[in-house]
Amino acid sequence: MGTLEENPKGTADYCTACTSCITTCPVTAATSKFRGPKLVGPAQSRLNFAEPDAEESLEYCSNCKNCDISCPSGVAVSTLNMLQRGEYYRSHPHPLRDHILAHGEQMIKLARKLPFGSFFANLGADIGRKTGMLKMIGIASERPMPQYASKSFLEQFRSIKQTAYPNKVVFFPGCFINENDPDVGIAFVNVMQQNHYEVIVDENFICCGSPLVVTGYLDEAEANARKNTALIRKWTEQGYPILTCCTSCSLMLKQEYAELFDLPDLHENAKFVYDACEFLLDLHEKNRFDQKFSGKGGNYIYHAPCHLRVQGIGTPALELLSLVPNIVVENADAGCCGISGNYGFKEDKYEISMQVGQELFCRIKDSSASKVISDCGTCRMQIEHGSGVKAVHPIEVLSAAYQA
Amino acid sequence: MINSDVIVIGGGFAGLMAAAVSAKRGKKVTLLTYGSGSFPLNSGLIDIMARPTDDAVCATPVEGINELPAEHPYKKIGTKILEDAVSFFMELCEEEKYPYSGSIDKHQWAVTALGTMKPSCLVPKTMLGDLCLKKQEIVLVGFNGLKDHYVNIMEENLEHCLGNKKNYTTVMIDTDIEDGRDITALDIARWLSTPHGYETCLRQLRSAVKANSVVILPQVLGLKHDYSIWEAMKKDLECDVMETTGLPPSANGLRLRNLLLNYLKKHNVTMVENAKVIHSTVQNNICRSITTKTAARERTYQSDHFILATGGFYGGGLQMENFPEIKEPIFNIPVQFEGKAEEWANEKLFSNQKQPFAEVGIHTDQQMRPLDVEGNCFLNNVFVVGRNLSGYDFCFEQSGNGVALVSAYQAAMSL
Repeated sequence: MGTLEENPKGTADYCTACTSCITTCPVTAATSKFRGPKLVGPAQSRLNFAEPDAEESLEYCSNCKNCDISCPSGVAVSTLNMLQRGEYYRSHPHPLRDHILAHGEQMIKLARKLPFGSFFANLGADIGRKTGMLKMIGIASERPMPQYASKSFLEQFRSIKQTAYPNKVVFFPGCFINENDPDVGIAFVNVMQQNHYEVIVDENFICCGSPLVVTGYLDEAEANARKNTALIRKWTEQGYPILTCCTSCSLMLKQEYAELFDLPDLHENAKFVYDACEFLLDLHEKNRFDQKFSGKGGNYIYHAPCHLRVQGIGTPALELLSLVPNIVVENADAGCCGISGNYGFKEDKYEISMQVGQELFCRIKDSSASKVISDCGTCRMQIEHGSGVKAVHPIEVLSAAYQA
Repeated sequence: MINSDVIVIGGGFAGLMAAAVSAKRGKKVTLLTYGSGSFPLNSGLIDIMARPTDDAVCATPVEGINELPAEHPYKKIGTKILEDAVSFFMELCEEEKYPYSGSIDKHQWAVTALGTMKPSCLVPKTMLGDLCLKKQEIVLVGFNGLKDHYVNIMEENLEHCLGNKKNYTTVMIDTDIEDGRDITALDIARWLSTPHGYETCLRQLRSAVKANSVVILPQVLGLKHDYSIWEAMKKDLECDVMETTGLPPSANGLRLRNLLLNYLKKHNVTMVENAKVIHSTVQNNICRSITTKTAARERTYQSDHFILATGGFYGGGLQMENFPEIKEPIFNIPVQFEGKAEEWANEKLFSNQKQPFAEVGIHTDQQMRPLDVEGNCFLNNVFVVGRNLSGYDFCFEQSGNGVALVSAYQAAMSL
């Protein structure tokens, strides 16, 4: 058993089975089918040597990480769950559904090689949904599939003429922003330029691996981690900060890679990885954050993604937005939205996912805010689906506030 | 660097109370939490004092306090401040529409899941066990599938406590909660929060309960800090309705936590979750900043004042790998155990003596500032509250949450 800092995989033995994780787990609250965090990953990690049986209810963990936030003993509960899930799939076949949900990046990259690829990919997903084909393979038909943008962020980024500055940051766009929500990436470039930073995008970055980890494709996730880590190292060796606008990507690069895989340079790289708002708030604390805002403002409600809350950096977006005149942001503070990446897309998890998000949806509907702000792409999808209110990234709000 | 008037380190009851009192005084508060404290584990009762010296219960909490030795936190702080702290807490609960009952002039007896009567002081209205003394008909309610709440054992013990002149009835309720795992009190609390669950339970209770009884349930009357389910059930059954204390997970502990977090949000307390504080920077007996370790890197937080509420050995606020080297990891405050290794624990768990290890902790002055081995204050703007204090055994004395409340109040008032 290693110390907590040295060996997160060894943290199972720090679990005192105190039950704190069970009281804060949103999935445990939504369904009796899940036995609760402490009874899967931590318990299994310790018992597997005696009995290699699978714990069926492990399938229900959404890796939202509220267990980690509530644990008084520093146990990496959710990561232990993911390691156990990966272990299970080493000897059991994956359903086709999981293959599709885990490999979105590969599929859209193939589609984009064809003329009108994204159009047909969207059409295909829509037809699949409406004809019940997606439901047949286990993907929730009630939920709209993420729409692919007609031009990816990378395609659009190539034609942006940036002002050159000596200060540079490297942007890790992540699949969702690159393929589905490039406006966030464009807004990010705009905000960084406004703050006299030049944005570098490494086109060789691939999916951080989060969708692979949660569906039990640990070896493939490790291959992604290996590739991204080597690429990131080249930039961090030169001292460039690595920024993301996706809290699941940043959590992966900062923390989960090191918890899951034994690769060189992970800890060194992590020191340079920032959530975009975290980085800008640091700039503000150095009195270098541009506050020449001229937008017309608005009323918003903010949802903190669980994958941000677990990072131990508070809610930097809320603090940044408090600097913008005429903008009023209420903190929803209503727990997990329920979607947890690809979890809420699964046919058999859809209802759980919507049940988990109920409190947040009600809070949003009861609020007088006209839009929701959240740092996570799938949280925004879930919020729009569950509450019917438009959701944007905090960087988009900042970018608009800079525009005259 | 985040600048605050006060940084509170710790998200347990002492930490949340210290943040609440500081915020109420208009301070800019940053609360750093690591874990959810012992809220899910205790019943959210505020015990003040029941057994100050041996296993005899004192006449009233306040009289018990008078009997305590000088090194007890209550003795250092004084009864006047203790009264103010209790008033603050009672007003806070009132403001959050989940008022507690009780005062330091009287024990409030709560019924436990074992059917014993436990002395406490400030309790939610659902746990006023004295009602049992006033009623002839006592109905003990269990739920099929719920572990750790056995009505037959309760009946036997309650008969022993309250006498066999009363009429005891037991009722087992069937829930239709979906299968999959053992049912907890939280599952039943969620079920009773739905109209269907409530009606299903009420129907079964009605056929077994006479009007004017006292109906005793585990902690299942909802997870929110309001009394709506309790009030509805009292009205619908025309009975008194009561909850017991119980084994974790505790619904009322979570109600208390939610109530306090709600209060902190209203008072603009900045909260950073999963923030593990690893060290501090001190110059000339003044702490300038503390540093947290996140997965990516260290972060520094500056403040004028710091309140340490990181708990004892369970919470990680105190650590001991080799006897007798006890460590307080953030400020390196000296903590000593005077006795030999064999004196560390009293092996008779249910004896009439306090546990020596339980009384180990940080010595402070009257304002809750830590003292060095010579008894001198060496950190002028750091205050220590709750379970990492020395001189009390909350379990034996039944002062759990009480010392936390009073020390948190005193620290926040000393800023």
